[in-house]
Amino acid sequence: MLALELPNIEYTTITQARRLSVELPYADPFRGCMYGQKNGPALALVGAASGIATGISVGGFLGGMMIVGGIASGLGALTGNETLSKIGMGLSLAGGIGSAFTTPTGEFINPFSEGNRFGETALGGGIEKMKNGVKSFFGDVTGGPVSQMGIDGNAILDTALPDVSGPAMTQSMIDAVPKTGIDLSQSGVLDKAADAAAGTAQGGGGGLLSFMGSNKDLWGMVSGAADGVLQYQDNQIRKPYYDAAAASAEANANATNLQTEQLRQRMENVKAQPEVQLGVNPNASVHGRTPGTAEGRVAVVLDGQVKYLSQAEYETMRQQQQQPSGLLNTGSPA
Amino acid sequence: MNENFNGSPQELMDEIVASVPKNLQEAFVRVVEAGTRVMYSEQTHDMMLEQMNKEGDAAQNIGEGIAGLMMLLYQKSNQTMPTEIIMPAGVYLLGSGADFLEKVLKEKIPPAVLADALQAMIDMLMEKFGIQKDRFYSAVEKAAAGGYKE
Repeated sequence: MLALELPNIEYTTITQARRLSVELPYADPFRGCMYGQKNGPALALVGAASGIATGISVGGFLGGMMIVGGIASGLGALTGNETLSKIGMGLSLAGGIGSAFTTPTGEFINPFSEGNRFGETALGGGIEKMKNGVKSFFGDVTGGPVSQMGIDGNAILDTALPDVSGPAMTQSMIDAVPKTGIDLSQSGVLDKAADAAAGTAQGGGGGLLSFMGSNKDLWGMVSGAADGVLQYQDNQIRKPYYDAAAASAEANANATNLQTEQLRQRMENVKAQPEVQLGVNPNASVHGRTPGTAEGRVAVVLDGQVKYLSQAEYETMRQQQQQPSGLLNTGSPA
Repeated sequence: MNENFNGSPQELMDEIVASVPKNLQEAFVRVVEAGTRVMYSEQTHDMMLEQMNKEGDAAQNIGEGIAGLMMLLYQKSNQTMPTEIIMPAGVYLLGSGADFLEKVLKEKIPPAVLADALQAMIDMLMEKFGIQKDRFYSAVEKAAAGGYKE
């Protein structure tokens, strides 16, 4: 919970303001309010917050510098401000901190104050995977062909890629930057950092800035690999959603296909229905017909044409249709 | 970083918002809100304007004013504010103040002024936090140059 006490400054009149003037040194016989000398109130915010903030986490502050490093670099490049450009280049690292010092869940691990958690970050994990990959590729570097050639593989790996476990990764920087309080002595924070950067730290260096400066290409490559690791992990987290979305889209497509098929079938059914024709008997004579005696004709569709048959012809045609014929005629029907 | 970054105050604010990591976003929002209240409240607004308009280099005044604001917020938070937030929140408030000035003065604030203000803010904050500026820049310069070996 962040508790903030906002300043409550009120100046009603200039006289009131003068009463709040900063007092002059004690026992000065020739100056002071007794002689009508008054200073203006400390209006500037800089003055209101003067003094060194004790207990500040320098590592935390430097971590904040890393967050703005990309912007500093961008502004510096845009305006030609070399100082900002160097801050950006030195602190924001190749590819920025988006993946380098971020865990898969998006948490920023400050290397200046939480170096022992570096292995949790995408970059730290990437370095560890790379080291393991190199080791597996060359086999056990403590033996095998590598050692037979007189090459100490482990030493190469340890020199090229820092140990991401424990504080060894940023020993010079982390050990020199306490989490609370600042060391203002000559062996203070930035002295050690500068020495580490110059590779002259006790124990041979291996600090963060030293590694960054000496292995920029490798750093860029590992940072790119870290980006890939982070993206893969992000995809793995999102995979159930992707699968659900794909299944939903497939279900919608199937439903649409079914509707289309049903519509097509309906259209075919409409086409297949027989045409109903109402035949008019052209031979019917209304005027000369005696009721009950006139012979009517039957309208029959044969070969797509309407023919009018007498009743006897119609009966003959029906008998012919009902009798089996041809090679398949095996006698009277069962 | 936006490829079309043109150094305007609004873009500065947008970029820093996008840069803040997830675990620091809540604290960032709270600090920016508090800083905005201080900058634009009735009691303290005149104070900010006086700082920004006083004689001398405008960029220096703006940068130092924002640095002082961040120090004030840090102290008023009883030092519970995550120190990683100081710089990002300062950059945001710097952009906010410059954006306000643009609207009031009806003049564009050049990116060079913003850059100088940012540098002035960084220098002032390091001084207030007791960080030796020359040592810091020496370490950063060596890292940026990359010209040293073990």
